[in-house]
Amino acid sequence: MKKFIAILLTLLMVVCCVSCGKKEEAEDVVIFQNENVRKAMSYAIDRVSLAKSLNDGSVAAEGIIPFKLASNPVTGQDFRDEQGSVVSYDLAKAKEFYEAACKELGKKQLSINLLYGTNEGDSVIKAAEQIAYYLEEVGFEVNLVAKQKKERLQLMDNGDYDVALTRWGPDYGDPQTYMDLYLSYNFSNNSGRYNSAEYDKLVLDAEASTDPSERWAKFLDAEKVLVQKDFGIVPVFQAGGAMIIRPTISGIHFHSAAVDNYRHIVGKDNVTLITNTDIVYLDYQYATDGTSFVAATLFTSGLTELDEDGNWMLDLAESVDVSDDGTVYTFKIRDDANWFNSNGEVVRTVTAQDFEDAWNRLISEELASDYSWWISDVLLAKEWKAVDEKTFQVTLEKPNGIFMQCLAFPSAFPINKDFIDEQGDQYATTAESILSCGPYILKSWTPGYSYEMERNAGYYFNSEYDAAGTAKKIVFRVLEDTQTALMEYESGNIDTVILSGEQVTANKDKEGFVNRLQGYLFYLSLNINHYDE
Amino acid sequence: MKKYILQRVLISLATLFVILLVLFILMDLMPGTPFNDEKLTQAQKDILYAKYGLDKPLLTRFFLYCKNMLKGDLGVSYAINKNFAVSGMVKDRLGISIAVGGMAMLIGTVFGLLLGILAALKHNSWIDNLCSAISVFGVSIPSYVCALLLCYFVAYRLNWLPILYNTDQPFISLILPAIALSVSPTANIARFTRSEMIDVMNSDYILLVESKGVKDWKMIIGHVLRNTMIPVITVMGPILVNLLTGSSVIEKIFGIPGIGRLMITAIQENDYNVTIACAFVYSLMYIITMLFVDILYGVIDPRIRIAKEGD
Repeated sequence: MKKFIAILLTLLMVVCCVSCGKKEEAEDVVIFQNENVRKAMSYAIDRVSLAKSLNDGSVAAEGIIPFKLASNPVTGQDFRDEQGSVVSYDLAKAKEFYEAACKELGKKQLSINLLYGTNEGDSVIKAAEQIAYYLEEVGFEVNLVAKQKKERLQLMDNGDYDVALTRWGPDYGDPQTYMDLYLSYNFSNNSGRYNSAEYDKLVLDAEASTDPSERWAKFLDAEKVLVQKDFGIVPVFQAGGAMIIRPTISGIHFHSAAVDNYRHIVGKDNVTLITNTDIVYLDYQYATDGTSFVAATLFTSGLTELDEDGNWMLDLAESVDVSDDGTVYTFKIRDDANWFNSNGEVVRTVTAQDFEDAWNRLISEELASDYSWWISDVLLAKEWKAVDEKTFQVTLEKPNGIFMQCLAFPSAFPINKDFIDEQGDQYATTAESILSCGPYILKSWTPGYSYEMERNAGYYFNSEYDAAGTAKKIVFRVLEDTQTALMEYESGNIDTVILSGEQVTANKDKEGFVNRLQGYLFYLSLNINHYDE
Repeated sequence: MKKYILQRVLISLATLFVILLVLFILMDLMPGTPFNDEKLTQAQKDILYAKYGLDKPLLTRFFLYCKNMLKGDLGVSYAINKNFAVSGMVKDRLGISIAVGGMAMLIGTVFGLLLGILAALKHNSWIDNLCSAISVFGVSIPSYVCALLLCYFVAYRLNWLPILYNTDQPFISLILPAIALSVSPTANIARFTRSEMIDVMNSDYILLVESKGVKDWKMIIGHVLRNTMIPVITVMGPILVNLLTGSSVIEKIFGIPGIGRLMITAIQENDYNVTIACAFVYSLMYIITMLFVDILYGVIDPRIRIAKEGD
């Protein structure tokens, strides 16, 4: 009985804590409607020093669009280079705006809660602390609110926050992947409910435009409105990633706005790579994380593939015909494209129907895929059909400059429907319950431990791979601890190692050290209009 | 004795049921959901909620879960390995955690008892001081420091053993993690054994045994150790459960796919079914161990056995 009462009491306490915790937030939220508050915050942050102190290859954000995300469809210039910086650091100005804001709001000091995630990497924790320091320098009183990522997202969804350090990873190499986030009606992503008719119009006009340069110009303007004119969000830094790659191997293609390509590793037959997260799901139509997508691009293929510079080249399609108005694409699928089981035996040939089935399955409600919008919103496809066994035809709503590039994303890859039906619930839960149509075959997967890829001898490009000396076996070892990973690398047992914190400084001059720029842009989301009155 | 065991088993089952209910309520109170993901829209989240039956009331879900549990179905994972059967995930990882924890327990028990007995026998000598120093050292050093030191010197510098866990040579690659894990239990068992044994050796009945002229080693094994073991076994129970259910830190350092890491990730990811299953397994093991310890008392100490039989 005593035990039971103790349990009840504990439960009561938990309930009280949870409900009290919720009331505590969102007290001063209304201050972000004041433009001077937002300006003071943006001018207060010394982004260059902050990025430098993170010491992991991160760079200061110059706007909401990251570096190397997208280039001008006509001139080829990077969005960031063309736009220049739309944010700046000016402590004196920040203080002026802060004083003005205090006066307007009739307060002596402005107090804000800065929400950030504790399990989103060391750099997020460091950055949050630094941001708090910069804001305090201007005069703000800052309370750091540390939460697990899922809880942070929940609080943001509910509007129970003042300012949050959050991020967005681009899904494809176009400004639209960021611009869509702050549309006034995008309640899933626009947590602070930034609301500007001017911004909405620019973005929607850009997306409706059929003229690539007009579209581009509107995106440039939209960024200025969001960041420079309205201070609707405060961009902070673009994530980097420091790692060492054994100097004898090469051919890993990193993309900041697409899936990294490991298909062309040369220099060693058996390569062991370190990944700090495991595959979440082998069903690439249902997966959402980078690790699952990287694995998918190895054991499956799409109509196109990206080269080192992020340009598309044909993969399972041997030719493509585009109608004069740029809206109808007709693909011829290779005769030698086949499905293979985990033993490398041919199951059957890849057909146009496999693409039609895949796209239908992706958008189906029963699958409930996170990427169900890929076909309609990114590829802009309105109709797709298998004309005959090897001809796949797609009709677009309007010409789309990134269509061919975005076909290289696993969400657009084919499926073998017969196999999926046959496997039922067991589909994609083991290496044996998935088929391959890519350059590698998934030989084994031990969740939380490792997965192994072996070169697919039946893949159409295999002889070229042989000639180039491409790796015959790639083992991905799941390892979170960077200390032991570094020792393993030094011992020669693994070929890549991801570095963190002090390790970066200590290994900066080592041969094979790489400081890659990732597509993730970290910014402060300000709760402008999302609260209960 | 039979009645006593039956009674204990029934109480254990009732406790487990309450634990499961509390776990369910706590999961419901946990902030965030498995589907808090910046890439998901509200409509997609609703579909997922319906798909996994999370839109149903708490009690309905609870009884459904209990019903499925009796059939061995612990649901599927929502976030860690999407749609994977949780029972399979837990089974695979628990095996590895039991292997490394079991090895650590073995090392800890053997060395802990040896150190404790040695210290007690040579009470107030330099050996006693040395053993005590080792024990204090073992209790104070966190296991991850030991793990990193072992990795650096034994594996990296001397190259005697592999650093990372390897499924091809599970025994060899689990030696270092087992040693790292055993440091704290060794110290705890040693300290406890020493103090208990000194108490027992100072007691009147040992004086009687001594005066009857029973040989030294016979007296130690038959009388001193036997009486020392009862309290020692009591502390060993929880230590064993702690070791068998995996250590998140050690698993992270050596790259072991164990249940400790799984539970931490499940909590971070709000993967309800996995968290409940891990916590439940932990409780189950704890309760079984305690039950076992209770029964073992009877075997070691006839007084308890007789008292229970008299009930």
